[in-house]
Amino acid sequence: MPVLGLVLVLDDASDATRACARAGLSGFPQLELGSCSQHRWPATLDTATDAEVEARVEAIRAVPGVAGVEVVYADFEDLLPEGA
Amino acid sequence: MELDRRSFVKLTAMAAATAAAGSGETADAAPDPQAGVTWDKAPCRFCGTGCHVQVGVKQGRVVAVAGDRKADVNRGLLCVKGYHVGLALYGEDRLTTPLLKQGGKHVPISWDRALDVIAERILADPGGFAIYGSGQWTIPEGYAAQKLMKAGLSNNHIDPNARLCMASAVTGFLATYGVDEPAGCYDDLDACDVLINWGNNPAEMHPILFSRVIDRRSRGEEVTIIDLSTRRTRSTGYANHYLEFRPHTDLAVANGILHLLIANDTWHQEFVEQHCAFKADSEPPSLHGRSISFEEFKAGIAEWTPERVEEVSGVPARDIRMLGDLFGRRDLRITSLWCMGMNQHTRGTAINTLVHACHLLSGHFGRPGDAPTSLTGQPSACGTAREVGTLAHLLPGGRLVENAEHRKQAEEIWGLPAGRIRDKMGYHTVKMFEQWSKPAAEGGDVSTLWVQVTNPGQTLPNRHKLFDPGVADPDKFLIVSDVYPTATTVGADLILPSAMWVEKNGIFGNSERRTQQWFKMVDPPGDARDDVWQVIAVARRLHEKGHEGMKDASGAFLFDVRDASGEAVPVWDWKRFRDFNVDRALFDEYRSFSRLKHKDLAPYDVYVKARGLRWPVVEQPDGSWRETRFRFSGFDDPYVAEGKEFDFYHSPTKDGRAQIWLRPVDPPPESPDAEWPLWLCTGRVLEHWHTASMTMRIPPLRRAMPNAYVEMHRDDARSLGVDDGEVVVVETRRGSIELPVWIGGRGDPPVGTLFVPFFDEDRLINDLTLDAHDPFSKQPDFKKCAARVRKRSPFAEPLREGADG
Ligand code: SF4
Repeated sequence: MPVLGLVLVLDDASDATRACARAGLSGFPQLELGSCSQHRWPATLDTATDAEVEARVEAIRAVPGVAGVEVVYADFEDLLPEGA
Repeated sequence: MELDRRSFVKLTAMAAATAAAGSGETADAAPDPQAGVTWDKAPCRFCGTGCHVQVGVKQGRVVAVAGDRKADVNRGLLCVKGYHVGLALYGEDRLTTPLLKQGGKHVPISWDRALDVIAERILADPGGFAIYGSGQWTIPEGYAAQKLMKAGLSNNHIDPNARLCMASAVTGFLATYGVDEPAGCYDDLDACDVLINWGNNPAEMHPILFSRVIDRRSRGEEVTIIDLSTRRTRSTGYANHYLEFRPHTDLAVANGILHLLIANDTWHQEFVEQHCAFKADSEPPSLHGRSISFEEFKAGIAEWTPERVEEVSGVPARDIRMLGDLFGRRDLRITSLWCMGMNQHTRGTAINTLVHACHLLSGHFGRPGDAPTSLTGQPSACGTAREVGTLAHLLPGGRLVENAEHRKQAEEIWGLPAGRIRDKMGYHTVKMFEQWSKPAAEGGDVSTLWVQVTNPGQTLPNRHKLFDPGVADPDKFLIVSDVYPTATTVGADLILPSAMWVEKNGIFGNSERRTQQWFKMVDPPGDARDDVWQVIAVARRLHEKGHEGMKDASGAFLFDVRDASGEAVPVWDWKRFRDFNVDRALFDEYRSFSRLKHKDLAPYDVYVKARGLRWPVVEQPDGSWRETRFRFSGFDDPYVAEGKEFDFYHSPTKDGRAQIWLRPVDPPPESPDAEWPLWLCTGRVLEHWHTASMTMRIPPLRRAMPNAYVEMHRDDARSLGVDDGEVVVVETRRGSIELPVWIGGRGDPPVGTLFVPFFDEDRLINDLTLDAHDPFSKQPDFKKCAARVRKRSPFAEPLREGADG
């Protein structure tokens, strides 16, 4: 299943926004947060199935304090058909 | 072991994300090395944004992609399509062998036989042969295809699907500046105070560009976003102002801005007096119209008061005043972006010139952040389709087939006998398919059509008129080169399997004049072969069969290439094709065409080392190559005369001036009435790229958006008595299809309007669209026609669900 490297773009760089986003993101077990740099928060998303990816990304995008989600890395070796 | 690999991949993913979240400037381009994975750069295969990706290859397969941190365009970021781009190679139904239709079935044949079939069709009727390609051709592919036609066959019937996509942007640039391509670049997005989206939706269609602006806001910068549209989109959610206009009335909005600049005396008198002239439509109509005085312009624009604009467009007069005030301020920087909303328009040239006019009259031009910029939908609409001569009226480098001097220049560069290039422009897309769809007895003189890298069976407007009859006519012959079965290959007489993206070398040009190169990284499947090889191999087969056009004046083969020792390399022989970098040879030949319009390109090898360079790219005294970000601006453009602040050095009036146009507001070719009461708009969705022939093969994207739908307003659904998800019949004067209703949908269309995406090959919305087109650009209007919706018969067959439901 795919492993994604993400950058979550926050509404702004304030502590309050960061805290708000952290609270909203804490309910995502497949999401691992790195250390936030200003308003940009690196993360990885490791889903059990590829079918979950889009819904997870959309759900993260909907978290209060998160202005956008950018994908910077995707490993999809597990998704390739046999023999490809 | 698996846990180890996943842990390792996660570490790599986090490292890539951390680097991209920081400045990224000192980070390496590629992610940290993983066991067995090698990385190399390539532009994304999909849209005209031209993001750079790092492609991870393991054991001959693409297994990972990452945003390229060294790339200015995307700075390490990718959108949902971009990070799936590697999977586009691995759909289970890749075409892997040539297929010839025999007895109603596609039967495998050899490449040798396929080349014979094509050569025989061409030799039987060389003037009836046409090629239809796209902005997905790499630069060498498009260049080779038009050389085969124009230099070899003396036949100008070649056109790209860019005609359906950005032809009106081209004519808008030509009519205003005398040369195609935007003057500004993506850097404007980092500097503008106001961003106006003219009928486009960059949050979904060019998401990485839009994210640059959203990122600035998150850093605390103030950027006012104005969404001018006929329907709400994802971009609307980020806008400070949403201005909804009635379809086709964007010209009135632009005229309202021009009126206010004059009425309020906020136009930039110094800029205009020094650098601009005025134009109006001529009789008979022509692209360059007639010159008028400022006083004539002022009198002509006087009627477009905010109240008059409100009456025509529905945009409140106070919002028109707000736009007029913004353009009237010198302390702001304003960037306009547009795409299909302005281009797919029967008045596409006119609205393009009017948006340029708003920027020129107000002086919002040529400083970082002050730019009117068109975006392209395809990865190389700028680099290939518009530049290398694939349009029916063009030769490479902006030369015209109807200009004797330009033909002479091309013949000299190609070493052709004088007079080889035909002096009459070929068929533009709509005409080409009309001639293909008409029987020969009725004057339909296109008998054989070769389609490469595009899918007209799905994208042509009014398909029942422009595509289906040719497929049904046994005297017509359709050749299609593609990577997957499509709505076009279904009708093909001969299918040629193609290599795609990093299965071949390539060069694209993105929306901001940036030329981007990549190398082949993996092998194509089965017997799929490069499109450029296909063109050269056909030329060689014609040469072998005695076609004189396949030789230059010295008797050498048209695609003669020589290695460093001067030895000819038989690149038409597939076994020898990879002995030589054909892209380098073709690109460096094409380069010699690029100076006429000051779109200078660097040698191929310079692009190998760069993440793309924006033309003109000019050699410096120290031997380095410098790109140009802001054309016509003295501080950056090397071709602006010394000491000048601005210089429109390709001015249509040949006096260094850009043209400010006065344009009337004409009615659309078809409007809703009692019988056809709704407006129908078509377009794209975030998850799929154009006809989805690639993105439908990517399981997560297919699942995210499995089939088309019709978006409609709740009130319209209620008055029809239909519920969300219910299948209805959508019809126009040209055809009908069945679609599930999505009340509100993503776009929340206003009452009286419908939106249907065109990606779904099982629900071909282009059976319904208009083939009426702009008189100058010949670009059809896919954005508005009159339609109606009716409930489906209770006895009708159930609608087939999209893949994976
Ligand atoms: S924005 Fe366009 S070029 Fe960039 S990753 Fe997405 S589809 Fe590819």
